[in-house]
Amino acid sequence: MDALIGKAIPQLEASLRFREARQAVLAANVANIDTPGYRSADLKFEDALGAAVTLSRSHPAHLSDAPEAGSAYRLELGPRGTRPDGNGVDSDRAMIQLSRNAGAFSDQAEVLARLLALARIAVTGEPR
Amino acid sequence: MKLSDIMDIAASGLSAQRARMTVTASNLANAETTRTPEGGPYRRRDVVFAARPLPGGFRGEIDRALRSVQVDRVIEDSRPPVTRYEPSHPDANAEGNVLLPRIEPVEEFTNMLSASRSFEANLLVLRKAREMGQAALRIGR
Amino acid sequence: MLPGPIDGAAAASALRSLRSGGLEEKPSEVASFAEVAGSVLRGANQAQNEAHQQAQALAGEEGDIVEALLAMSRADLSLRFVVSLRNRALDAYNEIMRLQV
Repeated sequence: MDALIGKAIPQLEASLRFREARQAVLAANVANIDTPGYRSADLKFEDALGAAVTLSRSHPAHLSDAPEAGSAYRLELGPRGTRPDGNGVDSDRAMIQLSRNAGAFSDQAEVLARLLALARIAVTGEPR
Repeated sequence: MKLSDIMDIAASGLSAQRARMTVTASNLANAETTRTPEGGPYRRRDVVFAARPLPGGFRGEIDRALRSVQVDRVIEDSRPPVTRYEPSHPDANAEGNVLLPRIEPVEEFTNMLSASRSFEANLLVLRKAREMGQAALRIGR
Repeated sequence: MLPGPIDGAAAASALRSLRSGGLEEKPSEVASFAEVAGSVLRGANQAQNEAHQQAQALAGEEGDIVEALLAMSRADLSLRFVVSLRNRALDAYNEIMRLQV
């Protein structure tokens, strides 16, 4: 069935999982905006070779080529804080990252929804 | 790293900042309090935040790195109180001095503002998480 | 795919092109209907189980809504595919049965 639904759908699924995980990391930054000694964190998505993950390998029994949630994620800590209490969160940057990530998630969810609707048509051969 | 985790984290931020606002309000209200049940003038209070890992076991590596926030403790100002010459004050001592809390309204207002902004920030996190949930629901449609 | 008389050979070739996504046909790699159907059924079954698991996790307060929705949309797609395959197979079968021998 993968040939029918194409690569975009598994890629979007993987991206949504990643952005959801990243949102939690960014939320922790905001919650700890005033915590002494806390360092800002971010999440990156790459494979062991440091390259952007491409999804291939079609196995008939598998429906998804998307990597398992949690694979190829890398947690990145920001610099140590310069404030007297040691906190290292830049609140403006934290808010912007958070808003952007949430927006990307929403956009991708919408695109996935539409691709799935198209895939349903392709799979059943019927308009709805 | 689930959406529900995000809400828990944001909720912890809201609680912590609200506690900070409460303590700041208490400081402002008691800036001139010379008499307390414990004896002596009011002592300025402050909250100390600490990062906490999320509850629940069997979490992945990323989950274990996530941190919510909690009020670790409320500390009292250990510095000596301010002395002010005011012999007419009911709590003035023999020399006519009154012991007052070491509280600067400007400092407290600044704290209040900062806490309130951080509170709003966590509110936004909550809102964004809800938006993400709603966006995700479109996937099934 | 419109309802109506379906030529058995055309049905088989339609299934072939279905499997390869209509992009290319490798004449040497003709999959039998059983092979295609088998793998699709296995995949669909797996997807149904996954979706049910996710739904249960959600009901038990420990699931993730995103994972649950992704699992459900996969289950939906795969189930539709199975039904679609079955319908076409049925049509092809009926057509063959109608052939005057």
